[in-house]
Amino acid sequence: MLRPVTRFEARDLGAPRAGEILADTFTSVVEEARSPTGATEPAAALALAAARESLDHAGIVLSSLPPSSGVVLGTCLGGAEATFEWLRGQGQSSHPYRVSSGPLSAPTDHLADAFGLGGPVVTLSTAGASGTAAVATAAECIRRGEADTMLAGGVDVLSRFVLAGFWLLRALASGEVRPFDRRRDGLALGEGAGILVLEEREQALRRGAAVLAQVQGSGSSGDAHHMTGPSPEGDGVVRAALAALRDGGCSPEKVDFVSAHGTGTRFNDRMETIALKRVFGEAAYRIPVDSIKPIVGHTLGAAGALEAILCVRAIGEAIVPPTIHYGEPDPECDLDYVPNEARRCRVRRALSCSSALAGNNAALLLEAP
Amino acid sequence: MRFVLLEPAPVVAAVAVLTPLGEDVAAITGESPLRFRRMDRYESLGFAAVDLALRKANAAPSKRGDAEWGLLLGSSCGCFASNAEFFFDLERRPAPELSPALFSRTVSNAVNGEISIAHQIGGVNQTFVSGWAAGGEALAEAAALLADGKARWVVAGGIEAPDDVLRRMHAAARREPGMDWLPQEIAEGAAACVLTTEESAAGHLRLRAFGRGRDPRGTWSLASALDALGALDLQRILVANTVPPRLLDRWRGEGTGADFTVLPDRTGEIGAAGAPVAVALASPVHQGALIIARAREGGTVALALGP
Repeated sequence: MLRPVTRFEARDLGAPRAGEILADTFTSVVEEARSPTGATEPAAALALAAARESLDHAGIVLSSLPPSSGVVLGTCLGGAEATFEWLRGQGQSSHPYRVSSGPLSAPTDHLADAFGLGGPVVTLSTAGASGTAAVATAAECIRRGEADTMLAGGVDVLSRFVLAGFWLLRALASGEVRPFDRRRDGLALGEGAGILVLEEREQALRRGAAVLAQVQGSGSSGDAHHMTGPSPEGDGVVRAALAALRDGGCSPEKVDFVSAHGTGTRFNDRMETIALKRVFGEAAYRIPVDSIKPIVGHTLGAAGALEAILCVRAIGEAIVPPTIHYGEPDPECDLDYVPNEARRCRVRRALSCSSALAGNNAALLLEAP
Repeated sequence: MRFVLLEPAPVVAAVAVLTPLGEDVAAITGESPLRFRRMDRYESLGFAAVDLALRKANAAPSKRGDAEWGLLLGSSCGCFASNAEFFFDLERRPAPELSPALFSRTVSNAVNGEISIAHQIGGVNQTFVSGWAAGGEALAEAAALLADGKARWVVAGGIEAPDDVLRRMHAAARREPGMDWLPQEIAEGAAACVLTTEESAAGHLRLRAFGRGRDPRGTWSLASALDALGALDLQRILVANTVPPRLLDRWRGEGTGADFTVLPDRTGEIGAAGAPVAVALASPVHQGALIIARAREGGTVALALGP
């Protein structure tokens, strides 16, 4: 849950609440990553921890991971925090990333090193849309035959750098984060990593894996409108969502659940509501739409990956999570946002939508196996 | 590394190369200098390269937010110069004095945003930051998207805009054991290609296939790649980035008979801009070419071009 930031000074930034990983957990994750890989940087450590958990969940032991396997990670700042620390020390010591050619790709490279991945190793950076784009790109790698197993997801670490930036943009919530609520006034930041194991279907079935969901389609777009504000009529989201549905051969009325970007800012939530109505028509009013950002915060590069995982869980458990802190309907946001209580419902197809600073959008269509 | 054969194979309709580049980006593009005032060097270079490529291709999106046009760019360090500037500002000044406009430039996809707005590119839109191989990633993904029919035109390229901080990081990397093969400097540069599956497009070179994989120990076999792509009659090898001498020697041996060009020998190391610049070198020659873009840590993209 969101709470005051403890890891760095934030009182001069309005003392905002954020989805900060608990200090003990954070420290143990970083320490655990340090011994086998030498990764001392938090983003790499979080990505490694999430990747290990996802492989465990998939029932794949590291030694049996085919060498052609790859990874696609999305991130805003990657391992930049380690570079900033290095700069604080005047850059005199060895750089924290011994050989990586860029701070942004360093977590991906650490993960690839740790797991001995020899397939495509890709890092994407499209701000808040990075995680969704990464899952989509990894799925394409499998579809094209580049690899049979891909790790896919996103990571970002909360920092004073990013908190100050969103504070300067006046994007942070003054209190609770209330997506789609009339009282909404901003977002809260978060941190984390989310990794999915994507596998070629026949291979997964051969090894007896429990297939949780299928990546059925994906789409991306540029708003081509404004650097910091979304297209008011949601043009970019509409293009990305329709591209994902077209790619997945799915008509809009067949979608059972939408995981929205749902930041809690006035402009985003209004725009997204308009966009969903344009994509789904009348059906938009009966499709449950949720945002988990009031719970975990906007985790930037990890957000799309966490939301993809949420869609997988919604499909598997026939339950859609709530949009919490929802109390006062906004006439401009008049869809079913699953207010405050999780809801049992059959989800065959889920659409996850992400948007970003500079106008990037990405959408992912997930389907029951 | 598994190769993906592209069918239909996208045409390279135009390539624009900006390296080395003077300071006056506005003069190169003919745009108002005001447009560049809000951009950092990374954005300016990328903007200028794409602008030139579109003019050379004599093609442009035909409507607002044109979904048939995509934009895929790559950079090893993206906008890190702006990140460093914002970081130092935050260290030295009270937060209220900092610039929100500067913060909005600290996302590496900012360059995509500026270009998309200026040219109304509304389709697929990605920023790859996979080290020096990122420009090659952008080209490979662009070609695949076109072959899959997910766009009709894609502008794909690479940008590298090192500043003092990145140069210090690079110098630190060179001091590490076994890393003395790295070049002294990373040069700045940008290059963009306009790719399309439109049959009417000008251009005689096509992206025929690509493969990618990670090879930190330098064991990837060029001979096997040439075998796998034998039907494409690849007579030219273009190495887009600096690689360890031992690896380069082996590749030279395995590429016997092929014309072998090491791009950094001509341009200096230009990171993610290397792969699209190599496309520019391959374009005037009517024969098959294999471009190898390799990141320092081993991420490798191989792009096969042919008539």
